[in-house]
Amino acid sequence: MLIYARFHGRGGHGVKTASRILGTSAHLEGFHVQDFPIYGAERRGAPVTAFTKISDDPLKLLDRGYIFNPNLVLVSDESLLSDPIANPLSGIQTGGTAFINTTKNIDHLQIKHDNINIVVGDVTGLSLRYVGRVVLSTGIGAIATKLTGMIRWNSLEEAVKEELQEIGIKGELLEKNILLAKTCFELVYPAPLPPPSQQKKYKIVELNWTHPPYNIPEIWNIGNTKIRKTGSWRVFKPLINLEKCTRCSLCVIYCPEGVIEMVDNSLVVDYDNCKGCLICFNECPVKAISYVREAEAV
Amino acid sequence: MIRTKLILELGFKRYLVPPVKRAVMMTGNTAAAWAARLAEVDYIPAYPITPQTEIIEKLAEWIANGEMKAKLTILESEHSMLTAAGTGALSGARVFTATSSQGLLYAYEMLYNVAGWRAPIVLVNVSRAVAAPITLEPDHNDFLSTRDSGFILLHAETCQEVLDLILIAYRVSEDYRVLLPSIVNMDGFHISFTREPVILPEIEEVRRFLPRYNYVNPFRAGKHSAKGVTVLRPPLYSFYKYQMHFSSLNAVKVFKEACSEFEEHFARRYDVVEKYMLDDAEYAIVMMGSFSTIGKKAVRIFREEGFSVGLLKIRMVRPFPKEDIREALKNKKGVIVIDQNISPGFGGILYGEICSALYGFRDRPPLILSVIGGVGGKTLTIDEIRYVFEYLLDCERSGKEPRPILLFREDELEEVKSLLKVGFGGDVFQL
Repeated sequence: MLIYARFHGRGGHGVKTASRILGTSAHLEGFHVQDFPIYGAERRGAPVTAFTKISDDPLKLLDRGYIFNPNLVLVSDESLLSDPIANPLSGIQTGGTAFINTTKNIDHLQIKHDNINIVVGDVTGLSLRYVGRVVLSTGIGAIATKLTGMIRWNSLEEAVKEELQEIGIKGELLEKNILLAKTCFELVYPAPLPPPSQQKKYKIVELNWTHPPYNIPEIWNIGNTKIRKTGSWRVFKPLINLEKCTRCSLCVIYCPEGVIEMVDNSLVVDYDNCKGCLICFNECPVKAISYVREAEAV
Repeated sequence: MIRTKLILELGFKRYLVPPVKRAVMMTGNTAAAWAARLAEVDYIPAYPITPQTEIIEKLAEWIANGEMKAKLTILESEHSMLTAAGTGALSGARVFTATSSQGLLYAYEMLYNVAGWRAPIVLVNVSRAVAAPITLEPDHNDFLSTRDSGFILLHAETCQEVLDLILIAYRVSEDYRVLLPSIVNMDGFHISFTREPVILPEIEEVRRFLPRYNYVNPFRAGKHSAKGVTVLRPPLYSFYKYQMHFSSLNAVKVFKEACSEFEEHFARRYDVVEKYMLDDAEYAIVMMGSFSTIGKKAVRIFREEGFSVGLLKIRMVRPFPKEDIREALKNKKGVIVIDQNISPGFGGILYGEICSALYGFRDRPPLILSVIGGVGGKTLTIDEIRYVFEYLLDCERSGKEPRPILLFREDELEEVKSLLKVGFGGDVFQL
């Protein structure tokens, strides 16, 4: 038995903790486990990946690093499905399982992969209901644990306590998280996880000296960050009530992304790049700014 | 007796080849400053450190009295100095800078960056042994610590070579096939403060040899480009590092081309290695830096005594000229590598490199002896070279495996004993 679970999320979602919750609960269940996260610049919203490898045989875990052929994928944000860098379903095992955190129906998700099992659920909604804020680590971790079909609730509960206490969560908040874990654990059923096999055969190439400037780490095609719409990782969408607004422009000054602009005595938000941090909502002195959950905003 | 003979012979030679251009007595440091002046560098970020300071003083003096047109800035550390040097070169300026020992190590992080940016600066390092214990006298540990940074590494033996190698280094670094920075190394005191006759090339001739620096896509106000970019994907990092390696390997060929053009312009011949009475020799001594001159003297003496011995001087350390070294040491009966450095727990750094260059070579010498000498500026004598040479012959005769030799003389041990006596207040140890 070998489970290769890959978690995709955005910085701040708690993907690393989710993978550790799965890892620790499998460890407590007596399996051999390895887990690790990979991220670039540590900032909220940037794509993050974490990996958990579980087996009953230590020899099957003679492995390090990335998982390219997962039999279980957990996507904490449906917007990642169309993100070319995250590319969450790449390499997924035929007959394997993917969980996607979304409010949408399976039919409304654009998934190009055939022959895989898709499980959907609104973990964001559940965490808002049980914990009062967007904490995906516990929910996604619990769902992953149940999907494996190998781990009992007691081990998961122990793991949630251990991992959340590690990051300073205790008391009432911890109790709320355990309730959320229990709900998520009961929400899904064990999924088919065919053993991962390497699907692709790698070919080795020989590199040679390349002519400058291609052999130098520099970029001439400046301004390509415009292509990347950083608004895609927003959970809450701020809305400005222009009738209440006094045009004091404090939101323009406080916005860390510089996406609020005064145009013709009106305030315009660039929603392509607003990350939904809600600093504008907090700072507005006349409470002219409100917010809605992105999934309900349409 | 032998000494007199040598001087006579040198004197005789001087009359055989009458000097075309008048040579001037100058130190290695002054020769380095002259090279920067003749290369018409635009920018000199600097930070003073013994024994390099004289280079910066000389350049500052020329700039102050209008003899040289360049921007000299004193930064707050060598780290900033090297950062400024790299960025200056990326903006299209020809950049010169110099440091030594502790200063080089303080700038260490930026060595990898400047090389990674592919900024073709020339940095002069005046070798000085690295603390602790602190000293001012030279060995090559500071220079050799930069081996893996991506810099092109050249080592000068004489004051003339300092000047010439700096000019050649600009040619190599700025070549599009290389585009990597260079370090030209000279030994502190033994070259930096030693005066020798140096022929100063004519500026017009230098301009013909070394045209204006013309960098691809330099930083310009209002022009979009990003350099030294972040890579978040491992294959891209590997790709650029491999490209640095290929470009560095190109530097062997580019250096040889530059040297043959240099000879046409200035009638002085250089190569990646220098063979001294080596071609017909049965045994070879491998050295680098200023003490090679002492090695050459030993070779002449041993030759007179009937031993067939020659010297191989390593001028280029990176890229490591493996093929030239193989060719030079082909079919020798025995090789002595004298390292003026020490890698504690391994031994001589150059020894390891020479062995790796020869391994797998069909005509490799059967015996390679590792010798460490001159560490921290400790002098090297003919008697010591004779001792290791006799040891090599003894190993050859008896067939025993040579053990590495760490040179130390009896008179030096006596000196150490008397100093320790002062340090500990009496006879408290047995050596």
